[in-house]
Amino acid sequence: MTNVIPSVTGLTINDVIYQYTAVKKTADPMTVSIQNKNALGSGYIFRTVDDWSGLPGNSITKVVPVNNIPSAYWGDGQISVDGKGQVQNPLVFYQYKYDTCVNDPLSSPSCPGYDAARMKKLTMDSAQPIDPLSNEYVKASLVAPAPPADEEKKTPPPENKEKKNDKLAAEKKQIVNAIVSKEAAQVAVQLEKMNNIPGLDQYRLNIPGGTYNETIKYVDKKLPDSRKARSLGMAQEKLHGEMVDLQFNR
Amino acid sequence: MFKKVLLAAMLVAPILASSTDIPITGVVTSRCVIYTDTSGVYGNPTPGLLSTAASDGGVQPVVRYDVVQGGFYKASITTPSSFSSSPQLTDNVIWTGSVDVGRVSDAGMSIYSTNKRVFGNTTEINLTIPGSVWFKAESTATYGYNKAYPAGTYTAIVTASCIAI
Repeated sequence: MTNVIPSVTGLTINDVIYQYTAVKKTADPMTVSIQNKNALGSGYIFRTVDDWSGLPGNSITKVVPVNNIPSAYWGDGQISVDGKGQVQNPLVFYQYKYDTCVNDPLSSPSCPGYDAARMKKLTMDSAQPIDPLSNEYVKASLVAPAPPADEEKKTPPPENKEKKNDKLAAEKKQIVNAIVSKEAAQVAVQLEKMNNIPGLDQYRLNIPGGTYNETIKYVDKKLPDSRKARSLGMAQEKLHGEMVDLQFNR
Repeated sequence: MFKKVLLAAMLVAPILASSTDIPITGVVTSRCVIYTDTSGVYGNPTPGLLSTAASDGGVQPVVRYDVVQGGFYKASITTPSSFSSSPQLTDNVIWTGSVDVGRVSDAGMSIYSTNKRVFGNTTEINLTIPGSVWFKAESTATYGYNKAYPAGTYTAIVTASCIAI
């Protein structure tokens, strides 16, 4: 059947559709069996019989539902005739569907066994120990000479930051391992993704700076009115008056 | 006194005669469905003959009956006895027709090809087995006596119906 049904795990057959023409005399006995051998055992995985005995021959098209039998069970198929008569133009179709849950229960939360698979995955993740000394920055800092005492006060040593990160990661793992439900697991994964945004820690940097104090001071004193401005104001007032008078022909 | 008694009776009577009609509704969906599987085509092997037979260059119309439960319906198929549209004809047309089982979804339905009643140009078959059955109709129309059909398009109708027994 490998040349009929694709050899992929997760395929299940849900319908067998067949058609043929029975050629016979009405009075003759005739039974036609459509069957598939059980590839993983003895006997047949599928078998249906059409009894044409005492009936005139005819063409038949039949859909036989089967209950999602995995493709691995389907062995070679055959159409056998008992009695007098012939089968002409036989055709058999296998209608199948592909179930993604079979290969990967984590492919969808609706898959059976999703919870168990999720728990197993989380347990496997937590079983991997984190060796803080394997970090290349930690190694570098261990090899490098210790900074002077006063410099150490100003800037925190890099290994402290690494240890803090490792501690945070370990705490995060513990939190994830404590989550048992699939909904909570999804939320935890999303949070983990959000927290692992590259460059996010740059927001917490302190930029060195200080306060810039005022150096110039202006002493209060009286400002006299401008004579030019006064004459300009009067000239504008006079021109405005003339323009108004023009409107009334005065 | 009589008026007072009558008034009292009129007041009481509506209370004693109180009633309510409660409707019950139900919807029945037919368990017999008819589909046109193949539309027919008349072949014209000779000038005075129109025929759906494959040997005459025609195509037999095929109708499918889907029955959910057996023993409740009968198929009634009427082959044409006149053209529904055609050029002007001046002579008589002789009609013949037949209906047979073309395909079945259960071997037992093959008995329909013998258990059928034919009257006039109508064939009736009791649908006793649930499933699908295809009926093919054959129709011939011979024009006059050795006369040629006028050129044009000829249309005739096969009527298929499902009748509750």
